[in-house]
Amino acid sequence: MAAIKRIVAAGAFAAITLSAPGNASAEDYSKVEGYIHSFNNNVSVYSGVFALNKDVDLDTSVYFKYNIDLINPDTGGDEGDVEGGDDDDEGGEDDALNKSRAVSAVSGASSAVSSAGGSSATDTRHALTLGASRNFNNIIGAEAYLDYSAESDYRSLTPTVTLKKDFFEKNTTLTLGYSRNMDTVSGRFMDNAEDKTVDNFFVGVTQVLSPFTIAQIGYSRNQSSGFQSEGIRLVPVDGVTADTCTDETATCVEEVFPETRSRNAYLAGVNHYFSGGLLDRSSIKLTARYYNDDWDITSYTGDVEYYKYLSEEWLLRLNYRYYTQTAAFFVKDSYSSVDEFKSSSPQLEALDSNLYGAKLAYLFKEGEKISDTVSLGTIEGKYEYYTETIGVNAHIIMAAIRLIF
Amino acid sequence: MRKIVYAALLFGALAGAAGCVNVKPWEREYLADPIMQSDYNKEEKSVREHFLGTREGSVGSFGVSGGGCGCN
Amino acid sequence: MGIAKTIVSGLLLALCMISPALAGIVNSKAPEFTLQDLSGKPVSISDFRGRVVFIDFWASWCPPCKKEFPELNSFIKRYEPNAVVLAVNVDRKRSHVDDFLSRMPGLSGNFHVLLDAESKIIPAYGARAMPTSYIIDREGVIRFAHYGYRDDDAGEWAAEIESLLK
Repeated sequence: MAAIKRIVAAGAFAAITLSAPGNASAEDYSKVEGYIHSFNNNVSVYSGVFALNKDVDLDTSVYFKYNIDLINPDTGGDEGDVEGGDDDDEGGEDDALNKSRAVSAVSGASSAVSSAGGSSATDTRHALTLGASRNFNNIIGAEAYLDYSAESDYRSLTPTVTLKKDFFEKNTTLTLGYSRNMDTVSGRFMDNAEDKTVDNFFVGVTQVLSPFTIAQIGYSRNQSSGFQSEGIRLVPVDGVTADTCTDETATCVEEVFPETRSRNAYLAGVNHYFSGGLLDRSSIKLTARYYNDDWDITSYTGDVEYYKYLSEEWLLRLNYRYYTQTAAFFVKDSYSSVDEFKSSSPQLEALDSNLYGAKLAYLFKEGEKISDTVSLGTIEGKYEYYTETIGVNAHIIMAAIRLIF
Repeated sequence: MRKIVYAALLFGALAGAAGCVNVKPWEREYLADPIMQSDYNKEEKSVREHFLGTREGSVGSFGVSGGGCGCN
Repeated sequence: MGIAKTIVSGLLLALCMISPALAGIVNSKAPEFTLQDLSGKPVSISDFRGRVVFIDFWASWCPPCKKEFPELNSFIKRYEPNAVVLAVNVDRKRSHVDDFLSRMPGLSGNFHVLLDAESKIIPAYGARAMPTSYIIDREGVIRFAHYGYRDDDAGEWAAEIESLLK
């Protein structure tokens, strides 16, 4: 068995180095997207994205993206009902908890909302991405990106490198990736800023199965060390209730998480194009992901996307995603002050979620110019509905325009 | 990690050696369609993955590329 | 000895996997064919015997083809009438070809678009990428091959065609 493994590995290695790979250049485009994420707790997040992709030559392209998220929690009036929570009370502990869930976790940006009610303020997150990709002499393709994001209590700098190699007449693509998140956390309940480092490794293979079908498998490994919490939530201990836990005291304490976290995700997918018949000019993509980590969270994700050209100009997409996860080993209904780990984070609880969506795009005829160098590409709009069993629902609306130059 | 890289190599080697897949460059018209590209709408994907990643406890979303027109 | 066996076996396996890609058509006779041009008229490669023929396999869905096509159309003009381009298209739908050409400048006199919608001819030429082009000498032998398109290809094309026109 070991000999067979060595032979196959040697053969694959030789095939990789002897065969011709390379990536074709992408299209020159500019895209503007606007989003509204509207939660059932009267919290809204407004987001804008501007992206630019430009070919320097046939082998090289550069990429720029700017993203802004503006959180706007509603600070006045009726707190409103929250569906699906453990208790059915209007306002009070459960609603305040759900409000913090919405605000603190919606875009990575946090607000000054504590784990239970209290005053809130808007917050803004800025994110910038710079990237470049190049095909080196038809031997290998490489991409490098640098992401930077900043908000009032969180900064993150993430370089990413990806290598891609095609072989077997470009029927197989091997992707290897590495990124490192270098984060600085300074939540409102923290005395000092703390660092967190996350190393991410990825390997994936895409295989063309037929002129109509592509399959993918992938594995990612994520090693996190440093401050794992966000410093924006308090945990009531020793019988204190969440709605009274507004400031740090002996019975209303900061979250405490383990100092490291190791995560694994396994991905498999298939993408198929239909030609002819009722489904002519449509495609379906099915993706499944299994995740586990050393905090004992296990999750399963199933995703389906269906695209259909309604005509030469109109493209419809329907999508659905199901997700389920178990809770972290240290998550409890209530904590005592002697518990080693304490959490108010909704991310670490057992939950199921569903995401339903539809998107419609208008495709301009290629070459429909609005100036000498700029053509219209697409205009699109989407609606998605996201719902979690822990009580938060969100309506997501997006509008976007893509220009080609 | 080695096991996973090895498995990926094995997957590719087997697929090629078996001859079960040899889609020629001129047969890739449908694979070249934007709706079959993994990086179509990558800005939208990035926003969604960030939204979901801050709401849910799991991450792991590097993109797998490949397929496409296989040009050049 | 064990390591040597492993290496040799591995190389043999690799060659089995990639040998179709390595087998070349250069220095062999260009396969004969007849295809229709844009007006429906049949055109044979043998019609151009005595001239240098640049045969280019392309498709409207191929991004490098979009860059190569106008370059090639402009490039070949200077070699009229001693060299011609036969731009063989493999799109399944004629409307896609017409849309593509409507965005291109007018075709040169020695640039002929031929239609191979059922991809009957391209397998005989063993194209390894899109686009793929071959330069055929005056006796009908393939002398040069280009798999894919690069920004500096025009320089190579010129040197190759001129070497065959001597």
